[in-house]
Amino acid sequence: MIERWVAFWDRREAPYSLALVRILLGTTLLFDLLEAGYFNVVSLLWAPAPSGAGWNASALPTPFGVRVLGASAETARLLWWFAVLACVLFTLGAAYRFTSIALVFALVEIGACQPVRDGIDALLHIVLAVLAVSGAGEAWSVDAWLRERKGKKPRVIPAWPRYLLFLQVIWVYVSAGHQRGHTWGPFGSFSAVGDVLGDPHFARFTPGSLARFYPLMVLGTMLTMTFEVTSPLILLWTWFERRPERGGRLGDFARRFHLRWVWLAAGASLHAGIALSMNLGIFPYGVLALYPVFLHPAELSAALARAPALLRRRAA
Amino acid sequence: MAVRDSWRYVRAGLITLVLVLAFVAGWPARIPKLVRAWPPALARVALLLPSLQEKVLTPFAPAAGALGITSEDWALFTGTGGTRYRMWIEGRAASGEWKLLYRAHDPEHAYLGGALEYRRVMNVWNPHHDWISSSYPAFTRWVARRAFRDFRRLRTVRVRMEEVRILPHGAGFEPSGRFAYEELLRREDVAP
Repeated sequence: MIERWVAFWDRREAPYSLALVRILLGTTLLFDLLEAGYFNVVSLLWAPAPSGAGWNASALPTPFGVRVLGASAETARLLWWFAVLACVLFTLGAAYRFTSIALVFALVEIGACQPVRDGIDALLHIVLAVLAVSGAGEAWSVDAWLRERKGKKPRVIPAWPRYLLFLQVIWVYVSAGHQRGHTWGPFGSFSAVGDVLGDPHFARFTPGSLARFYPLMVLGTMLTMTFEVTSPLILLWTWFERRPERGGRLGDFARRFHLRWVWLAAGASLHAGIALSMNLGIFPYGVLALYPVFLHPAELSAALARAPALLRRRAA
Repeated sequence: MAVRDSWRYVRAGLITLVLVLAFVAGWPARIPKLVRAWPPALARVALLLPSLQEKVLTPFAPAAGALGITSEDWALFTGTGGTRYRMWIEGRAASGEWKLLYRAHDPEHAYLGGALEYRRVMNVWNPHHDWISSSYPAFTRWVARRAFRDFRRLRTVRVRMEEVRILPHGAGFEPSGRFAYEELLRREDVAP
């Protein structure tokens, strides 16, 4: 039993899934950071009063940047630039081992200076820490390109960071699903999505303008709850696909009706729906950027190999 | 080879530890609220969890803190509907009426709309049930400073939250005319 557990965490695989996570997540985070610069709110978010609403002396521990450079608008701007630069290099996979750690450090620094952090901030801290010790920079990166130019072969990487992130995403859903209030269930008439779309701070469209689609909002609430609470089943559906000889009738059923792909499509639709209808910042994009962890690298490379032929066929 | 083999075991052990810690960190902070309707015997057991959680996690808190990891408890959008808020930002010249500059979901009054609705900024001012960030007053000072810079005639800026009731069946919201979290800022108070 122990030997099997050790062997499981010792598996290795091609780096494509994690490389895609690196690119998608890095791009999402970069966009989010650049928005702060574009809207000229860097001082507001990360500088202390009176120039901003960020770090205050009662916060513990004091961020390293503040200890060295002092708490000021200039320090806030410097930390932001550092985070942007680290994020660009991380996304490109340039000196990945160093830049991934630099990005973790930068986010810890700006996180400590920021007055309030939300769910996606908390998730990014965990995910980036795991990515920093992974081989996500081994493909589709500047590092990989340089290695290829030197005639070196592509490397396989440990699979455990992908497995951990796989479990992390499921846990986010399970934890969120089990804590929902009554408006997410039958006693609250499944009104939650309709309520959020009526909230002037979160609705993307004019509150009330979509009332004629209320049955769809109820359906969306039901599907969200079902999806989240049953999300651990993706482990089972994935295992059934990996082991076509296992699972008995249930396994046959899951494979026949492609339940793994149904689950992934439901998750992607859920986040696309949130992105379309609610003002929740990068949350839906940040979680969607993690979805490649549900794909085995072999699936991803096979899909990419098929893509040019498909595109040619479409063009013809 | 022996080192590599030992490392496999060490790594599997460390990953197991991380999984256990993550699971414990994921116990909901809202346990007292969640167990209100549970059978008393079961609720008593559940109420032991927060202190156990703290005991287990405390030794590892410095490492988690260094990575900025705060929790594995994902209480996202737990409550919806009921009383919510709608932010108003207004300005007034030396002798005159209040002029609406920004109001959430009001395209006619969207001063600084992009910046205010950027998620990191919104987290500072958006009230969460009966809670608002302790940085809210600093935020209102920042807003006022920007408004005084952009509108030279303004003498006073007011930031406040109108209570609104979310209507059933996706029908939007109903303003109440009552306001909370009001901050009044005069030009001389927020001069750079």
